[in-house]
Amino acid sequence: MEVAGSSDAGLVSRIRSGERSAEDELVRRYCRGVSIIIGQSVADPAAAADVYQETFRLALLKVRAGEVRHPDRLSGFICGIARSLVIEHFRRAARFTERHEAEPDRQLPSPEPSQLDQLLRKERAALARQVLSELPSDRDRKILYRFYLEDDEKDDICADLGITALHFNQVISRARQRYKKIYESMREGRKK
Amino acid sequence: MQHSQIEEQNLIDRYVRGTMPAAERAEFEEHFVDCAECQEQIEVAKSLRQAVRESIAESAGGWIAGEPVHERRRPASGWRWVAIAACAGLLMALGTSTVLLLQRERARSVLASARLSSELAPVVFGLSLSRDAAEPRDIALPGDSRWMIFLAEIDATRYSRYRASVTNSRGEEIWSQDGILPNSPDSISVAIPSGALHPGTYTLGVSGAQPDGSLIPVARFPLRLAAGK
Repeated sequence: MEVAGSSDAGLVSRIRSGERSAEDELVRRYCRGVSIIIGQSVADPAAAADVYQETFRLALLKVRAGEVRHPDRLSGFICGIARSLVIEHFRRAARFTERHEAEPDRQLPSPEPSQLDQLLRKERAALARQVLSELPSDRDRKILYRFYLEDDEKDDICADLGITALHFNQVISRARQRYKKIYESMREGRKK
Repeated sequence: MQHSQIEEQNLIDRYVRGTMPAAERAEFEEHFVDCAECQEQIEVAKSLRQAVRESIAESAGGWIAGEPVHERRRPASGWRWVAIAACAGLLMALGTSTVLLLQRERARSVLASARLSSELAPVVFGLSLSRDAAEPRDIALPGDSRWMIFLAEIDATRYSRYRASVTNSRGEEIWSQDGILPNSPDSISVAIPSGALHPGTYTLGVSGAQPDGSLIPVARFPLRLAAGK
């Protein structure tokens, strides 16, 4: 049962009345979702962290100031702030690039992945190989290759391979579930 | 937004692939920003997609030296340093005038391999006989030096090893690799350093190697390469 104060409108009202715990609740509720939205567009982790921080700073500022026109649509309000800040990030990055194009000797951080990134990459690749090897048929493997590697559309894959949309959904869903299960077992194994 | 709709319309994967129209994307974001179940699914889908690409790239990387991963005796980075040293030694021994006599494209290909960063993630392209054999496939070249992995869908059961080559519009071979082992019964991976390729039209040819060493053409994929960002 949802507590009235935890609804979108309830949360806005509590923040406006100065309740600090309500502000913490807002951040906790939306932190993961906002990270995903920002991460879809901003690849650089440091830049994504900056946009993330600014999103919540601005969101809380506006909620406190009573600038949320539709308190029952707080989720949409938060998403809108995150998207606007992502756009602003790229505008600033473009202006920065223009200003510094004539500085060929400028030192830039290395784009190469860290050792940890490389290790994580290897682990992910091993998990994917396990998931792929456990698929019951080559056709199912082809579905995954075409969908995740070639970014083919579902309809095209189904038409080419002569499979139904339901079969396609089942293969993708099972692969995701299996991947998640193996990944979690690996993490559990490490904790022991 | 209902989860049944999300499942039926594959919104999770379409979001991860970035193929949603803006309005649909905004609607979906407004839903999942406060939905732990969808957030989890998105993170798993993103990770799985990345993992599949990395597993293919890793497999192809093992073929770069023309031998399978399990037979490799030194790590990939060691092989690349040997290639760099060999290339430099060869150039010094032959002298400038002889270098000029080398096929210009071939020398550039070798040096491109030597300079290639082994740590940047490769870019992967799938080539299908049913879709890509007739019309040129448009491909954007990466803006930096990295491996380009072409996953060619062919009947890979007929030969134990394959040869891949890239010819330009004048029919000149600018890059090749022998001894490629199949990934699976229906595909092989061809790894090409991006420095070996430049904007233009090319053909990626795949041939099966017979026991006597002769080559039998298996597939040809026309490519149209453009400078990427």
